[in-house]
Amino acid sequence: MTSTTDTPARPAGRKTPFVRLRRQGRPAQAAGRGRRRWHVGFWLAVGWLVLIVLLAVLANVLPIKGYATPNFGNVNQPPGLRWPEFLGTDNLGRSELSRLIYGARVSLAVGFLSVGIAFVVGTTLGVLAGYFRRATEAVINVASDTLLAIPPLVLLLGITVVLKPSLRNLVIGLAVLGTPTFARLAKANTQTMARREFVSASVILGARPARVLWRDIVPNVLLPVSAFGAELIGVFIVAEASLSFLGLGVPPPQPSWGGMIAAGYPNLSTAPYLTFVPVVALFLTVFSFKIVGDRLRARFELQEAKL
Amino acid sequence: MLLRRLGQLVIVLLLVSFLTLLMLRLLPVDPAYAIYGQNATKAQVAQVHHQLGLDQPILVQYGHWLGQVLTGNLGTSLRTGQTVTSALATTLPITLEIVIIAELIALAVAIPLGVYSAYRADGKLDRAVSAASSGMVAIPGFVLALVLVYFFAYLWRIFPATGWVPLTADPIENLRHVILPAVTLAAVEAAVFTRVLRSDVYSTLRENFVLAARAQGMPTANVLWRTAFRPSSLSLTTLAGVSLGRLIGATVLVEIIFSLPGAGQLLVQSIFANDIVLVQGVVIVLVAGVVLINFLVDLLHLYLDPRLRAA
Repeated sequence: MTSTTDTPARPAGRKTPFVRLRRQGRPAQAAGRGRRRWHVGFWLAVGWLVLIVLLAVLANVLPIKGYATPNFGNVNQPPGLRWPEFLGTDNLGRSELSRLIYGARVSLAVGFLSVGIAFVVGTTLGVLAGYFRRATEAVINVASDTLLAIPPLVLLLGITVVLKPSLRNLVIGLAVLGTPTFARLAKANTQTMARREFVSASVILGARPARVLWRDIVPNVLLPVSAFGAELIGVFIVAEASLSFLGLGVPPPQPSWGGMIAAGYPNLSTAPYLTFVPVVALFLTVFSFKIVGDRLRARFELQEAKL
Repeated sequence: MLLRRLGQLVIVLLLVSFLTLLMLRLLPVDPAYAIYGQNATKAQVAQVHHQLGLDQPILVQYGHWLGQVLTGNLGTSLRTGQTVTSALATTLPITLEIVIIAELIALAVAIPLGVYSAYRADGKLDRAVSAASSGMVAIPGFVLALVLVYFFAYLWRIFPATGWVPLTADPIENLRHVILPAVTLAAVEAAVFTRVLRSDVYSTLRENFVLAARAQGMPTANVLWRTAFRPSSLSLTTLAGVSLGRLIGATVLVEIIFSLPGAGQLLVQSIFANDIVLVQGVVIVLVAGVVLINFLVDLLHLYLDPRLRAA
């Protein structure tokens, strides 16, 4: 077993000759600086995500007002140095801070749940299609091609309208949307893994397909697929916001970031903060998920290179 | 290869159209209410069902609908009585104009930036471009749209925030209305294009034939544009085609934000109005467009890269 795994296939070196069109900068130093900055960015991203998740989870016990509590003596306050309304209030005097935090619940719940479901279903289908090929692969190919051919927003609109807008149906819609992509990614990774020596070795040693899949292939497929998953959470949070913006998201009075943006948009010229508070939160969250996803992928590629 | 792709194309189109039909028949709202309002009588409901063929088995319905579509008849809107084809004839050109201009902006930004940052790899501009493009990719389209509207329409009043002027009425006004939506769509695409082109040109510049061109004393501009750019543009053309398809889907939201009377707006309105015939017609035309573009991209790829023809 060991002798089959340690025959490294050296990747072909850089294409030669190295033609310089003028000077090339100082690659080594630049790369070093890039890596350091990357670290800071990564930890900032993780910090922001942890903060948002904690706030969302603890929303009920935090000392903030209810998201639907109006305060007519204190309407349309712009953000400023005030506690606790430092993010301002909307046209009913409701606290933007509180609405942002409760809105984060919706965004994060939708992001994590839908990606979670799509991840499990899509990866399972993809691994099966990639390993067994033939009929399984053909069926899954046609199904995923069909779903991918429909513009995502159109498919999403269709699903949410048929099922009526609600948190649960939003999750279902997004999960359907994400599944084919996970399936494709998992299939491609499974196919490359299945050709590796250690998998052949396992098969030759008499392992049943279930064991080969579970012990040899799945652990190696999970990492690249989950890197994509981290990014997809951000994408789906945006999708939720887009649908809420169109009025097809979580029904009010439950706040969501997209709903807040939609409510603020008509007053963009007079009270821009009502739009930009949720927009900034949305952007930071999505960007953070992207950074984390990129980082996971970089780690995966490093491991891959060592094989 | 070509025939197989064509076969797949047909299968995908059939499946999508069937799925659309199935989904719309599952709607919790009866289309009869879309015509006669909430107080429709039983007789009216039955009449609408008969008229639309809803009382027949789903496969029969599908066969009938398909027969009509193949003869160019996409049906008639339940609410306005307008035919789907004429509704699309007024809205689709607007969507296409935005998509095409967005694509042109993206390419116009990406090509010089991509080539130059590959040429001066790790230079100041290269690093700035790569930072900007990774930021751009992470900005959701409608967040960008709102920021653009705030600054360019409200604060500086350079471009209008909403509305539409037809190209035939006033080309300049038309362009002013197109700019913000098109830039919104173009931003992400430009970022992706730049990254891909940079990495392709970067590796092409290290090929032998570039060294040869260099050794012959060709000026740098010629080396970059004549020798290096063409062989590096292969993934860019593919990507540009794919993105054209993606933009058709993405315009839905942009058209709503900028209240443009395009096909996306039409789709959303007909969804809210439970106008199933119209929804079905718009969806199938948009999907057919996307599928067709992807097919053409494959063809283009075969033309550009002879190695793929054998496969």
